[in-house]
Amino acid sequence: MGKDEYIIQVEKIAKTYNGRRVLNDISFALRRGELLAILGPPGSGKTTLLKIIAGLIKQDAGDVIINGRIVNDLPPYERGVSLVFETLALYPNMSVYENIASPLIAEKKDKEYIDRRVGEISRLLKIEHILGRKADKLSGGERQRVAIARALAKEAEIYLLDEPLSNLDAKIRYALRTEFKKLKSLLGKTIILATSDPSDALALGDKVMLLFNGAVIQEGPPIDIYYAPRNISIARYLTGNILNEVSISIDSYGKSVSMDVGQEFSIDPYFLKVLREVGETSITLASYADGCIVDKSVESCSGIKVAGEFIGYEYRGSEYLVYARKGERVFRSLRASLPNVTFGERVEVCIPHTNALLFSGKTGSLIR
Amino acid sequence: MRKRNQYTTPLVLYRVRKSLKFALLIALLAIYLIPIYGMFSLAFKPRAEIYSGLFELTRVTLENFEEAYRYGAYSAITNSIIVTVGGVAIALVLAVLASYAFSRFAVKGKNILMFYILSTRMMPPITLIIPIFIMFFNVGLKGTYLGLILVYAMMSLPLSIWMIKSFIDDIPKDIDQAALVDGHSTMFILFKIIIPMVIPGIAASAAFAAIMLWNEFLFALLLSGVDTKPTSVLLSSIRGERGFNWGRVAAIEVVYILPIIILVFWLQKYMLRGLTFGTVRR
Repeated sequence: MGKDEYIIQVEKIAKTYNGRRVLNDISFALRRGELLAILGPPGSGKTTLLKIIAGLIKQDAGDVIINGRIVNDLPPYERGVSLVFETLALYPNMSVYENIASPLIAEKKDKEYIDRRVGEISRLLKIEHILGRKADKLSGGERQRVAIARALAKEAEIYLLDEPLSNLDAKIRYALRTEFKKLKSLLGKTIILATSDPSDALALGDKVMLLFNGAVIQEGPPIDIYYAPRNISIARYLTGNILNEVSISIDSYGKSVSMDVGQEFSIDPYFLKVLREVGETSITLASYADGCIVDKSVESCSGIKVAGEFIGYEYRGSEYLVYARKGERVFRSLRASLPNVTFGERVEVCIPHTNALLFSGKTGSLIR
Repeated sequence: MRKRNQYTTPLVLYRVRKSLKFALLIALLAIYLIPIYGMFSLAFKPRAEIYSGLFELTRVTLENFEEAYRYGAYSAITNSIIVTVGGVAIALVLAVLASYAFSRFAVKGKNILMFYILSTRMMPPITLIIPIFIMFFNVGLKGTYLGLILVYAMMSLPLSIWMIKSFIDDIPKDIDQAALVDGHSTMFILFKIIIPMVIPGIAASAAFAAIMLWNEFLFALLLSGVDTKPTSVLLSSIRGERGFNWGRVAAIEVVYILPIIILVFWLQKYMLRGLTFGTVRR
């Protein structure tokens, strides 16, 4: 595969601020029309990386290559990139029309072209009715759309979106997610999106790049990230720190098995086999809420089964998120209906081995 | 009974205290306002009644204003307006450019420079008067509008830079960066984006500078000429043939304070924000 096929390559980008390394040898490459989601907690360096690509911050080392050309020394407007800022950065003294037209005015396009283009984009984002309004008189969702519209008005190769969905209510969020997908397929543009929300990254990205403390810790298609997180901290992050976890230990003779959820449990021989195969004395078994069963009684469980206590539920539209507790440990399960139990009653928690992720007890890295 | 007293005594005390505070405020207000009232009353009194009581006003007349006109008060007011507006305008243009640079660019020794700018205001103006006088005399700026305008611009520049910079600092840098990505020039960013957003700051610093320059006396006294004399200087030199003509003085004062009162009323909401700059978030 020739290097020229990539629309953008980022090679070994590094950046230090006041002695703190905020980006550490970041590299990736994208083809035309791909969407890369950079996922990481706040302060992981996402914004800095996007601003380096846009040419607003100078990197200490590494190259940004756009369309086969090193653009390190080019000013932002010559790089063929467009950026939606996390803060949106609309021009508050200007109207929505003027905001969207801003990049076109800078390119000295004629009035007719500007009118047409602003019209097209505002129709696409459903903001035609607010074109005459001042940018500081808009609601959160409207401002977000205007910021995206301004970025789209510019004929760019690559669109950089910094937390474009944060601070939005659920309804607008889902609507905008769908719109991004539409934009991507309609316009065939390359998009790099930074987000701290795993669900946005997994829903939107063709590729997801996990950025923690300025370093890439995993990169790949969303399905790989979700079902094969490289280590347990990634899995925890993807669930917002509410992963179902059980730790299994085996004694040095390979005979006696114990779990950190007490005595009352049953375990599928499969896990013992794994333990022996990998030669570890303890592993952590984890599952997402959709891979865990909580019910009054689970008859056949080909995994581990723990007895717990029903402590509550959340209604999630079409399904319920059911909570059960065993000691300090909380398990969550996504179900179509509520189990037939009352609060505090005994329930059984089952994590089938087909849904379980196994992590090394020592290093926390994924075993299988 | 005893219990009742416990509650009533503080209530009485509270009322007494409140009345005392109120009385104090009235007294303070009187101290500040009576001279202004006196000035207005003198200005509209006939000449013969000037020495009658302060609150006695039998007839309202404009004869003092006519006198003031003959004495050249109106050309002095015009001079005041010219030097004040000129000084403020030059200071604002320079202050906007300087404060944008200080706020946004990596200026070497920024903090020291900002302190230096402020420190020029810490010097007593009297220490500068001799060198400036000699300098202006030599280059022919003494007695000209331009001379006074330049000195006034220099005087109001530090406060203007500090105030406008604090307003620009409040604007997120992302907005400048967004404009850079759009492809705009620095000048476009400054004039079309930043300046419209700091209009309140510019208005506030214009108001403060205008008040200071309008009342300025020392430099005006030494650097103005016969034709360029502003009102503050005119007022100091006023003398009638038979002692002071108080009616005329009062009439000039009335015309002198009106423009600045109107300006302050017009810009007071910005001035309040200017006074608290840096201390509150918008």
